Amino acid sequence: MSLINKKIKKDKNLAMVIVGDRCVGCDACYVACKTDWDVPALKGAYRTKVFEVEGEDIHKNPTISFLPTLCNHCDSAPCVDVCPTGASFKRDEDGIVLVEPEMCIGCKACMVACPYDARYYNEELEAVDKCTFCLPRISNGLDPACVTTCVGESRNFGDLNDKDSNVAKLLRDATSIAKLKEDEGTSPNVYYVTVNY
Amino acid sequence: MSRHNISRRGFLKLATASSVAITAGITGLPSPLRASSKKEVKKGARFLKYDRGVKTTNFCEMCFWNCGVNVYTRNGVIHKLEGNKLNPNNRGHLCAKGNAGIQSTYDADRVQSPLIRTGNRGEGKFKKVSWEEAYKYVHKKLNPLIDEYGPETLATFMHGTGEPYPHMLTLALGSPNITIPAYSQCLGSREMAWALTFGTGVSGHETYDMANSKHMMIFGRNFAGSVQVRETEDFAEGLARGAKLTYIDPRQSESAVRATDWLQINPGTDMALALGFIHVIIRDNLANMDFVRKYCYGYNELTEHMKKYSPQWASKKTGIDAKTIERIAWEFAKDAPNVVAIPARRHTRYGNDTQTVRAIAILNALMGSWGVPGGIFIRNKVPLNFPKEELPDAPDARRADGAGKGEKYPLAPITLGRTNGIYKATLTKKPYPIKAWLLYGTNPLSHSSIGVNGIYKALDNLDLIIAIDTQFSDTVMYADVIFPESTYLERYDAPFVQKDKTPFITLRKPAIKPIYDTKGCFDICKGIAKEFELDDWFEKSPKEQVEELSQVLSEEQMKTLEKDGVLLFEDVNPYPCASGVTPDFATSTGKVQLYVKDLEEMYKKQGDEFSPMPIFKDPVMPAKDEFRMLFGRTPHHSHARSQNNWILLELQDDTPVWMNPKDAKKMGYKDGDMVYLVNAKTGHKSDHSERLKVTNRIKEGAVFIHHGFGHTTKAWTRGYEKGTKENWFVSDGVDPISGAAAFHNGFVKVVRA
Amino acid sequence: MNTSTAQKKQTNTIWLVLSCLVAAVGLYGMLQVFNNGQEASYGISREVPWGILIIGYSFFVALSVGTAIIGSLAHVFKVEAFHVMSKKVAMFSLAALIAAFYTIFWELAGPFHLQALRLVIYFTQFEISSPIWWMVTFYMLELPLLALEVYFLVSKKANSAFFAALVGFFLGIIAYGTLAFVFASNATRPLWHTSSFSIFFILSAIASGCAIVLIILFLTGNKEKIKSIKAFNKMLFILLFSMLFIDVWNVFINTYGVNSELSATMKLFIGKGVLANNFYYYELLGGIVIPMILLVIGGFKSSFLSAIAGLLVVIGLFFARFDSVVGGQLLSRPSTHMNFTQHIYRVSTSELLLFISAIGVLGIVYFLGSKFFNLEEEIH
Ligand SMILES: Nc1nc2c(c(=O)[nH]1)N[C@H]1C(S)=C(S)[C@@H](COP(=O)(O)OP(=O)(O)OC[C@H]3O[C@@H](n4cnc5c(=O)[nH]c(N)nc54)[C@H](O)[C@@H]3O)O[C@H]1N2
Ligand SMILES: Nc1nc2c(c(=O)[nH]1)N[C@H]1C(S)=C(S)[C@@H](COP(=O)(O)OP(=O)(O)OC[C@H]3O[C@@H](n4cnc5c(=O)[nH]c(N)nc54)[C@H](O)[C@@H]3O)O[C@H]1N2
Ligand code: SF4
Ligand code: SF4
Ligand code: SF4
Ligand code: SF4
Ligand code: SF4
Ligand SMILES: [Mo]
Repeated sequence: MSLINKKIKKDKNLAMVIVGDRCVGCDACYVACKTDWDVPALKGAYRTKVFEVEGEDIHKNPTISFLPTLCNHCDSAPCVDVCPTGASFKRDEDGIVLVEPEMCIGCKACMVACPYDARYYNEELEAVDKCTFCLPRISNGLDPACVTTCVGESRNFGDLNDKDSNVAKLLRDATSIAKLKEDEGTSPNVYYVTVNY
Repeated sequence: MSRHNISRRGFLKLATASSVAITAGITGLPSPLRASSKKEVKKGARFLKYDRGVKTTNFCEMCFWNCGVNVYTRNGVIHKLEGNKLNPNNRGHLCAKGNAGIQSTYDADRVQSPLIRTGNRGEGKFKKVSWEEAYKYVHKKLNPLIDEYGPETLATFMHGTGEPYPHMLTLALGSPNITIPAYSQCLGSREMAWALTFGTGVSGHETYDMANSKHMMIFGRNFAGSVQVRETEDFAEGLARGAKLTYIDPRQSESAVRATDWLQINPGTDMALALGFIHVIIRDNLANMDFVRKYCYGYNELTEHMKKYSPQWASKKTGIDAKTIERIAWEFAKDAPNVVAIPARRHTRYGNDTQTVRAIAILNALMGSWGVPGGIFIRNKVPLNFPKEELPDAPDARRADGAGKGEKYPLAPITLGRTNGIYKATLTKKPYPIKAWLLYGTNPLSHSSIGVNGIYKALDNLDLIIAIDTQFSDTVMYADVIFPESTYLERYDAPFVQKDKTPFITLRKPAIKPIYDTKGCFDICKGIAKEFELDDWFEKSPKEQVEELSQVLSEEQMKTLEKDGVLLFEDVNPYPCASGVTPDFATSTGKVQLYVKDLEEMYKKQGDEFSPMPIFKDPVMPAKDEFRMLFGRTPHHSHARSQNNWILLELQDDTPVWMNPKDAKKMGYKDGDMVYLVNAKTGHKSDHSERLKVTNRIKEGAVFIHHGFGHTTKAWTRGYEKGTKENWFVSDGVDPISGAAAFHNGFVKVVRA
Repeated sequence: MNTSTAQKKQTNTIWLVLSCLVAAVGLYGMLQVFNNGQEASYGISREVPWGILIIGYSFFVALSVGTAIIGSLAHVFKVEAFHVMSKKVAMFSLAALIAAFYTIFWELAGPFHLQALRLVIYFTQFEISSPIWWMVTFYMLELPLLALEVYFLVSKKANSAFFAALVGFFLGIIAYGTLAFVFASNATRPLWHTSSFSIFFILSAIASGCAIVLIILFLTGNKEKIKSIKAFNKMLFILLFSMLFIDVWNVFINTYGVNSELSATMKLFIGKGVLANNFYYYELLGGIVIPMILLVIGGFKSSFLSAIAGLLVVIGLFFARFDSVVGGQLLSRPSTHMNFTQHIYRVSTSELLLFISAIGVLGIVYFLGSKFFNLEEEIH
């Protein structure tokens, strides 16, 4: 996907593990994230969004499920590759993908490149903005805002390299593990799991 | 609407203006040069800092569940609300509404000072006045009314944490007509049925032990969508631990998604289904006879009574296959007693609500789910002796709403009153004229049960409308005098003491000074009382009440409470029955009443509806070209109060009309068509058209929209006219036992826009 | 100076004034952006972040590169009688590039906040994995090169001009190729991520260059133009024919293709798809088929008909860019287990006026250049 394959070396392997069927679609995460990060008042301005997916099962009965989405902090991040200024970058130490607003010229190439629509243009910053895995919070010992508030306790966050972390345990116990659009070659770090107790 | 009108920044005012300017400056200046020279050091450095700010403890007032909230302020501006991990109501989580609570404070559309009406009623023309003027105005207007009609001409509606003060004021003035919509508009019938059966209700903080349940049988209580945090958590937790879920709802709600069995029931037939289950349980000897023998009254009567309610019969009524009814009854009984059958919270549906919940309560009794893990836990009191508050003597005057002993609804508690009864009395001037309303935190134009023409006419009969509110709700726009209350983030309230599994005390302290010229409800009510020389009743302010806690709490406890915002009293047993302790059943027989003796008399005089054991009657049905109007909560909004909150409006700003594909086909409609709703009885047509959502998720013959939208108040610059007000299409029925409202027999025509 | 030159000078001034008027409509857009911000003024969104300003950019760049390539071709392969207008074509190419920069400037973040300074980053960061970085770098080189070419032509330094044109030819192709790659490199946008996409991009740019030359030829009314008209007519015809083939084939194959995402996208262009009208009538019929017919009717030598054909080709090019840029973004879904959501892109008034004003900017630069360098005096 990228012209030059940047080797990823991460000290920490940060990941969000979402227990899919615990999500009740309450959208508390959406609001918590918007208020903590001063995301502007605009429908398309958000760092995380929960999709309500309506469908049908094989008996033609209606089904719905909820799909929380956010930046996947891809290990092979097309948004980083296309950025002409280096404003979009991936941190070596933990793999978090960030946008440095001072360097962003707003060409929106990264928005186009992201397969997950994870980015938006933040006019108040005059730069593109996106989920930071709550780096400001986690580097000060807090959980991400969306995880903290998650009513269904669907969202979990931590370091997969730490075998005792909640996320590592969840992946071990999971009966199914999926990531979004894996065929895009992006190597996402947000996992969707089901767990049977 | 341009983003700039609704930008959050606008609300934060000067306090943040400077910091915003700095940010804007940084991004605009030739920093790239700097950035590039020191790239490694600077790039992304901003993302390592996080100033949490100052913490103040509070509890949420965005709905009536009152989750624990930690409020974080930076430089005197509230930055973030976060759940208090130690508060049992939410264990650290907040729902979307709770998270968006900041906006209730930083909203320029708020009522910003005391106001007196200058234009016509509802026109929205007010003049700014001083507090003194406003208090005097109340005195000047109310006194002659009291002289002419007696103090009972004042009726008071209250909903929210400040309730004690309007309550006090009204009693002191001498009117018995206090009412809280939470009874007759919400959970009155439900609580009545639990109380008749078990001697106590499950309370506003329901005592279902879902987290530990093996099988939840839920009759249209939408735990995932009608969010009250602890309940939603427990619901998700129970499921995650492998509980079965039988979810009954004509609509596939957010909760139905996770059901082992979602039963798309015919509206209004929940009682029939419960009776069908009970029939199978008795017929096949599935009841928990230990519990029945030990604690229950009337099992033989019940056995006899239930014979006619076979699953085949229930199937005909409910539209649910008889085999399924049998299977689920067996499965449910297999996991007894760690199972729970749960009625709706807002049980104001078909006018048979008390009896429907009675059937559900009986189902629980037969499983022995009372006082056991995974069933229904027992609430415990905070083990402290608080100083008794002195209240004015109960007024002599008769209530206007028919609640209380010797009245039409003898069982309806006079401490809560029948809100719908007061509306009716105001409208009909019977039993006597109601000339003044005092509204504290309630919005009758969005929650009445007397239909569109009724409620406006009732308002016309009033000579004085006093509102204590934070916002210009539809009803507040009709007020003659408005007292702006400070929001929950700006005010003290009395200590919050909750009976619970682990009872607790929590505190509300202001995080910031009031932004506008507002006061707490205590001060407002005291101010009014002073004009009548009744202010002696208002002795201790909420702040003083908080401080006074140190008299009943140890120093240690006080410290914990100050620090954590919550004080838990953990040494209690919520599961007495599981540990062999006989709980206190405060019924007239001292037992769990499968058969309610208390109803015998009324049954004889007034018929089947009062039967000591539920008797099913078919619900009234819509005419051929009409639909039953169903409605419910959306997870994104709180009642009819949050539809001006920009962040919640982003999540939902309309109310699509759900219709079954078969109905749509008959009507020649397709998904996305624009339609109006027309009240089949009053002919009232919705203000504007709404998108049709054609989906199998709603039962044939019914339409569904979300509650709380369609505001007519132009003062709400964002929420005005968003969505449709379902209140114009609900029915004005009354449950004959509880006297609470019944909304779901409202019928509508759906016409093309 | 003879009378006809004087007359031409007068016409030039009229054109210049007209261009200023057209450019002035952009003030409305700028005012909107200044007062309300881009977010409120533009129709772009989170899901469709590239709108008419990016389309405009790729359109003007196509005109610039197209004319540069045609000019260089004529130079390099010594197309007879081209020199009569080589200066004008070079000037046009320069003007179109400036219009392109003007358009994209309004698209970038915070145009009122010294945005230009952030651009410095390009040359300090060396983000070589970014197609945009390369593209901007190439265009940053192309710009002075075009200016030089004009300068050499005007000052009659034939050899230098030839050399500049030669470099310009390659740079133009490479630069436009990278622009195509800016789109095509997005694996997540199946419409762009095809092999034919870049080829179509370049072919259509060259066609538009041809078209512009034909229009200029018609307007300058020179005796010697007949010879060149034939050459350019034929060239345009061949280009249009290949475009038609690629375009139709592309839609045809991919609609029935195995890639569900691509075939879903293709359905936007056919039947009742939101872009179908654009595609059928403006892009194919108006932009390719009718011009081909006009060229044939004119026997490849009617200066009037070929100018009309040229105009249609240029308009068609705009719609082709619109269709592909917007079409590539309209469908998205967060997960492959979900259906696509079809987003909406509606051009806002501000955006549209800013785009239109870029045409004025092109005119201003071109006619100012004409005036300044006396391009009307084609003396040889
Ligand atoms: N048609 C219909 N009617 C219904 C229902 C329904 O679903 N449909 N639901 C019923 C149920 S379950 C309930 S609980 C009731 C709820 O009925 P209400 O209690 O009337 O609820 P709201 O409509 O939210 O109105 C509350 C008012 O309180 C104000 N308020 C909010 N916070 C504060 C505060 O801190 N201080 C003061 N003074 N005021 C404040 C708001 O501005 C608003 O005007 O409605 C019942 N009625
Ligand atoms: N987000 C949010 N959460 C809230 C509130 C809020 O305003 N917003 N309000 C809170 C309050 S005060 C209350 S009272 C509760 C109310 O919460 P609930 O008691 O759950 O009530 P509703 O949301 O009104 O309706 C729940 C379901 O009842 C279904 N229903 C309708 N008719 C029937 C029927 O005949 N049988 C059955 N089985 N189901 C039927 C509806 O389709 C709907 O899905 O929500 C609380 N939680
Ligand atoms: S999800 Fe999108 S924005 Fe996030 S790293 Fe991946 S490509 Fe980039
Ligand atoms: S918009 Fe900003 S972050 Fe995105 S690619 Fe362009 S410069 Fe990089
Ligand atoms: S991790 Fe933080 S920034 Fe990312 S979605 Fe969650 S709250 Fe928002
Ligand atoms: S807060 Fe948690 S449960 Fe609620 S929508 Fe977000 S992910 Fe789902
Ligand atoms: S459930 Fe939501 S709105 Fe209600 S008190 Fe809790 S956080 Fe607040
Ligand atoms: Mo309620």
